[in-house]
Amino acid sequence: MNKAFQLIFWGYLFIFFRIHIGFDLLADPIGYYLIYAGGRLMAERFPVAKKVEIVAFIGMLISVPGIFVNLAEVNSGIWDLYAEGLFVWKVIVVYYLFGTWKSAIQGLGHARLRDRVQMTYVWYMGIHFLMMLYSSFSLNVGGNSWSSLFLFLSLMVIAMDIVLLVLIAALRRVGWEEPI
Amino acid sequence: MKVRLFWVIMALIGISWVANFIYAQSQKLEQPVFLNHFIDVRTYDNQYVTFYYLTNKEDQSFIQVVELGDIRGLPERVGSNDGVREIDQFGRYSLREVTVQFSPEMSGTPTAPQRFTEMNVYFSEEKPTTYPIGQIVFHPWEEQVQPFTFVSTHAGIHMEERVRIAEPIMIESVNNSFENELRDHLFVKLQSAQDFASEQTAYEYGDKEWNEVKGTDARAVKFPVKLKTDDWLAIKSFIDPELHAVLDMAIGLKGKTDTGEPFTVPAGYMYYPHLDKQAVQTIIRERTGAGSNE
Repeated sequence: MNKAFQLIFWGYLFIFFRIHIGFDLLADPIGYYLIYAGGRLMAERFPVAKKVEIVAFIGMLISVPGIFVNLAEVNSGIWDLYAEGLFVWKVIVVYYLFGTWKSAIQGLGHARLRDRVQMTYVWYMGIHFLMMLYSSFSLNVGGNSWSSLFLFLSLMVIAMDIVLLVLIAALRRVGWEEPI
Repeated sequence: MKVRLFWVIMALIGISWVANFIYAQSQKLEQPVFLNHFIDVRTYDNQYVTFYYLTNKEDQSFIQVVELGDIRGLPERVGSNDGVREIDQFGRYSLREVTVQFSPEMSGTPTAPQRFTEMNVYFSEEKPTTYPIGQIVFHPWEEQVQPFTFVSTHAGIHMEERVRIAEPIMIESVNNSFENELRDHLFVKLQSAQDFASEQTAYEYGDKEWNEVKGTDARAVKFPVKLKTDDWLAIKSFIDPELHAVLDMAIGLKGKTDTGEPFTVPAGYMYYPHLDKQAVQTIIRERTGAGSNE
């Protein structure tokens, strides 16, 4: 299990960070593969993790075009839509990850950790929902204050990504091999 | 239960996307909308004209060349988007400006002013199309007597040009190239005094209401107005803000010097409209004819 969390940690890191030099060095497909591998390990003990396997695998395939195009710089309609799609898929993968962790942590007596997982879930999803809602209205709204809001939401999304990574690291340190 | 809630919210967000997309498509401009411009171009000055137009936010096109009748204009292709600069954003639409250099002498030397109300524009992503742009007049070079010395210009809510009279003259009328269109929207006041030095009243900073600005409305002035050397004259102009048009025109003072020579001296007037979302909707509605939903 610890190994699984390790894989998931690195996987998410790959998805979260983009170091784009000619192409994305921390490529998304690799990140999704790592999450897929982590999900497979988890599924041995928690069958619900199968869903993580599936969505991570799909994520691996659909994020391939993103390697070659720097999505932050491109301005065309199609790529914008694609970037939005990747964002949505990331949220879905994380949703299933949380589902797996919540059921995994149920048996153990870690009440505080359980609360922390739930709290992180609410904040992570809340911020991401706001960002997706914002994007939908961006078709019709513009101007300076709207752009400032984007900056704010982007920073919040980054903060949530970091919070998630920290949570994954904490989950890894749980004594998963102990008898329930 | 949190499980279901997630998908419900995702579905709602999906609906928001679809609704916004449909709305955006319905509000989409089929082609750019140029603001109304009222511009005097003197073919002996630099012939750069800046045009303003509204287009969809996502429009990436630039302008390759424009034509006013026979006169070609080339946009200055500098900057990131080949010369097109975004000035402001109003919801779905973006206000852009482009500076065009015209070469009127290439179409022969005109002897009379040439007036255009439409411009043929070659956008990079569209077929060449003719757009109404207001009115633009090209004035041929004319040898002119200059009985004034321009002293200063002040621009605020109203614009003010101050001149000092260089020789005794008689002003017979005040006019401009767009009398018909601007009659109810452009207001001019004249103020003069005998002694330049003593009546050096300060500019009316603080941008007074036009009603309170000193001077006599040009329509009420009893022409001809006689002025002596060293008198000063202020030409004050004000445009109705509801006009939402771009002005770069001349308010001409016509008359004769005491030695009988005629003159027409242009006092420049530039105005750039302050636009808000409502003004933009009005402009678009007037141009496209159809009602637009807000």
